Amino acid sequence: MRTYKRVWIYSILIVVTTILFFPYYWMVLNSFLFAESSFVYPPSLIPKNIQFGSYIALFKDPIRPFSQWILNTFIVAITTAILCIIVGTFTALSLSRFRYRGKLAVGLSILAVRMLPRVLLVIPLFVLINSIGLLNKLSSLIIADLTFALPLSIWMLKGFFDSIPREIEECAMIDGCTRIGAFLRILVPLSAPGIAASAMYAFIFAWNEFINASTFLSSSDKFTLSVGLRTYIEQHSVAYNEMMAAAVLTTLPVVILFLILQKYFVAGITAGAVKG
Amino acid sequence: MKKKEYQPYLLLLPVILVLILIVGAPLVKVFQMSFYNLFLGRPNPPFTGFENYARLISDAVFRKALLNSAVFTLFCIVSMVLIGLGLSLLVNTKIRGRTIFRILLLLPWAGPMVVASIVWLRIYDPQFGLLNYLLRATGLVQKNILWLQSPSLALASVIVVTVWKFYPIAMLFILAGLQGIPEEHYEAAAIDGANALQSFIFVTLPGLRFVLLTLLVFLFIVIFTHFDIIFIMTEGGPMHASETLAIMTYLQAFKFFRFGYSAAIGITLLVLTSMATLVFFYISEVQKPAQ
Repeated sequence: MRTYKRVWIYSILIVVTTILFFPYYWMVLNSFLFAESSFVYPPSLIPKNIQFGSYIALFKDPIRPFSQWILNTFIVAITTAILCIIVGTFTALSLSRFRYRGKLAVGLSILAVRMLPRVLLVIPLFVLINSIGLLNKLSSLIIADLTFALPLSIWMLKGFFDSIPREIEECAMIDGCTRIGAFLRILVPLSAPGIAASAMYAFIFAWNEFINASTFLSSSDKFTLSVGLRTYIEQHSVAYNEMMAAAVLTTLPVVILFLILQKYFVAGITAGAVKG
Repeated sequence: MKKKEYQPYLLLLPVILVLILIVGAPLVKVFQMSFYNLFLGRPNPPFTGFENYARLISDAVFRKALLNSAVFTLFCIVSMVLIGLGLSLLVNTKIRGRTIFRILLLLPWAGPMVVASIVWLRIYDPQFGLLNYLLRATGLVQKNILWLQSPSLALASVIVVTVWKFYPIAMLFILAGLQGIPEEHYEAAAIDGANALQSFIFVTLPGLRFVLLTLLVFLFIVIFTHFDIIFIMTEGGPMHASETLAIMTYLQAFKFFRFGYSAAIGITLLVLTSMATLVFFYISEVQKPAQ
């Protein structure tokens, strides 16, 4: 490639990436300042003093049980991921390895669920959950998140299962394995990366989830991080750096997972979106 | 043989159960709710038939929300596709370090929406925000601009944040699509004497046709029903300036407790989304023979 073309591409990419990445940089930067300098005007773009004071203040905040929020969010996310994988694997097995009447209808309905506005469903779910008495309990959130994470998880799992040739299972069955046995001992271990990717996607989804969490959870000790973060903006005199520290800690786990996953996202979308 | 026949159906049992309980039943219930004058906490709501839907037409807030949804969706999608396309083309070239660029550019999508909202809230802050500071420091404006507090700018401001958050989806789709275009097509075009622009118009764009259509459907569903960012940043204000249909649905239920009316709005949102999706699918089916 000609050098001038390469220089152009690099220049544009560097400028654009800097601009687009900037909000995250700003967030991290401000989390390392401390109370007095948070309202420094003019705001500084480059760190002058790095302090961890905000992070310490974050965990000592009397009205915000941040560590409890982390725990809640983790419980919801990991349970959703595990349940999503179990239900999703069964479903994807059915869709990938069998031929039967109504299969297309089932596949389309599952995809159609993805189309439903969550705002719409939150209303009756709130009423239903209230009537069962599960309001303000993490379990109601897990069930709701599970349902919304399922369609995409199933789609990803099916894609991964499809990519493994059936001959391998058929060999196992000739050797005396049952159908289900072949699944469990051959297909599942071979699709381990795909299953991990689906689990991580469900985890990220549940971790980031806001609307269900903020509607179903009402007491501060039950909040997930998304809901808890929002409480910072409801009062203007809040320690702004503490809020940014909280934001950094909330974002870090999912960004790390995303970095691991992003390779699979491209692969998964390639499998589904590009018909070749 | 008979025993094996029910296996696939058995495997489907868990998901069917979950979907019926958490999606099917609530969907039926909310559809039912829209026909009653239902308020939270009031027992024995009167059956009102289509009255809630009739009220929508005469409700100025609903008309504003409908307009806001349309404007929001249109500007977001167009921006996202253009940015995604541009970035994909840049990242798809044979430069070193393109993986790092690709990863950094995908990051806005990775974090929680709440985080994006509160960070941007700070950037948009009229007095202490970075944006106003930069604009004043470079002399472009004199007074602080009320990004989220003025009715004329609120919607545009949340559009920017939404585009920032979701453009990676477009980028991912288009990147995958670009990698599916065979090299031979470009080589053939080069032999015919096409320059970069021509090969883009006549090779790249047609090759992306299916991916773009799928992307549009997906983006439409996500953006038209989007809730989180707008809700956290403006709650639909000021004075309904940034209130989309999704926001209105939620506010009517949880701020004004008009569950019946809210259900009607929500169902309308669902119907509009489904209709648009069907239109997209129809177009893609018509496109297919030409593919």
